[in-house]
Amino acid sequence: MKPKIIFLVWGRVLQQAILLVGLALGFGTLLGAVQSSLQPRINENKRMETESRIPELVPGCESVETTGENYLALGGDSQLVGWVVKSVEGGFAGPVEVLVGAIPDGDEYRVSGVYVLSQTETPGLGNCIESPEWLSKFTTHPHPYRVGDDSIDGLTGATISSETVVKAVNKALPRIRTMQKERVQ
Amino acid sequence: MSTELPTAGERFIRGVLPENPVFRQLLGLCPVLAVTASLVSAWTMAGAVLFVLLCANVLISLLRHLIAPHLRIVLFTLIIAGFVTVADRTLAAFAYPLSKLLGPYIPLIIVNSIIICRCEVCASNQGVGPAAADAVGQSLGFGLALSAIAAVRELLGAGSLLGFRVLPEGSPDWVIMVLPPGAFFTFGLLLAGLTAFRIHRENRATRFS
Repeated sequence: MKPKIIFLVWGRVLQQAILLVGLALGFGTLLGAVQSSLQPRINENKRMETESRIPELVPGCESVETTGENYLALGGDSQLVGWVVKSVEGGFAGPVEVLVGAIPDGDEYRVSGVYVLSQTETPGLGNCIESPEWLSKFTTHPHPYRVGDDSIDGLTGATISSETVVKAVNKALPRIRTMQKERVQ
Repeated sequence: MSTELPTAGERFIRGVLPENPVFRQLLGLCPVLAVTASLVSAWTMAGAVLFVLLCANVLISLLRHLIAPHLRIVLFTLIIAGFVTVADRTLAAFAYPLSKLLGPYIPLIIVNSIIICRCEVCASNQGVGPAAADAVGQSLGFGLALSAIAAVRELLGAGSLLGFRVLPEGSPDWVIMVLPPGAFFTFGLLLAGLTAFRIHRENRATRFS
């Protein structure tokens, strides 16, 4: 009698284990298929969204040349009118991606626009970093930036999110400088 | 002394109003408050929930005799998470602006209590027909509830419906309505009104019976 009960119990356990592993493998395969077939489309969507923002960041831009993370904004007759750089910095709840646009200003450059590509900050507080009014401060104050009265005002209740964007923009500045020097030569 | 389980038709009808997941069962309230700032995001969320709930209910109903009681939560979560991820990736691939609009709330459907509740109450006990009808009915009820709240919030907070300006230009927008406090106000007042209406009808029915 006892061996039969043990066999029945183990049979049940085995059946449940097979079900669990089978479902896990099945869904793993399904998600793998979905990922491999859809990820190219999603990357394309992200790329198109990035490129659609560039004319707003660099006035006079009509076409774009890209080297991956950096974009050259070209004007009417393929003349260089500015640069756009994508920069990432760890925020309060996850990475914050920004696009920084700059235009030449004599030997220097001026930041002409900042746009938040993606963020997962707190709704209502941290995600106010997306507001155009706050982001326009980057174009009205000189670079490099800091959070403070004399530079970029931090957002109330979103200190870390504000500092994240400032850090991300500051990280982009040397890359803009490099691109400017390369072009000038 | 067991009562008969509801038929497919009954499951469908109940899901819409009598057992409405938002205003009667008070389930899944986080997305209700979060995505009702505009009608477009409300309908996107309702569509995603319909897909996930229907797929999960049908699959669990087909497997219901194989699922041991102590494993059911694990299996429900696995199945729901799988379908939510499919929905999330599909939305990001084919409707990227909507995916960005809803942000983290599509993946959060995994923890939406409406779905796991329907799996537990209906799909694990009944056949595919009633389970599917339950999924459609509950999703319809969810969508109606979301639409009611979103219509109020978008109209008062942005003067528009589905993105089209409805109120005349120059009329003031109560921006607070599209912020979190507006969600709580709208939901609370609608819930109070609907409950008062239901109690009033029940009292009238008992008085005249």
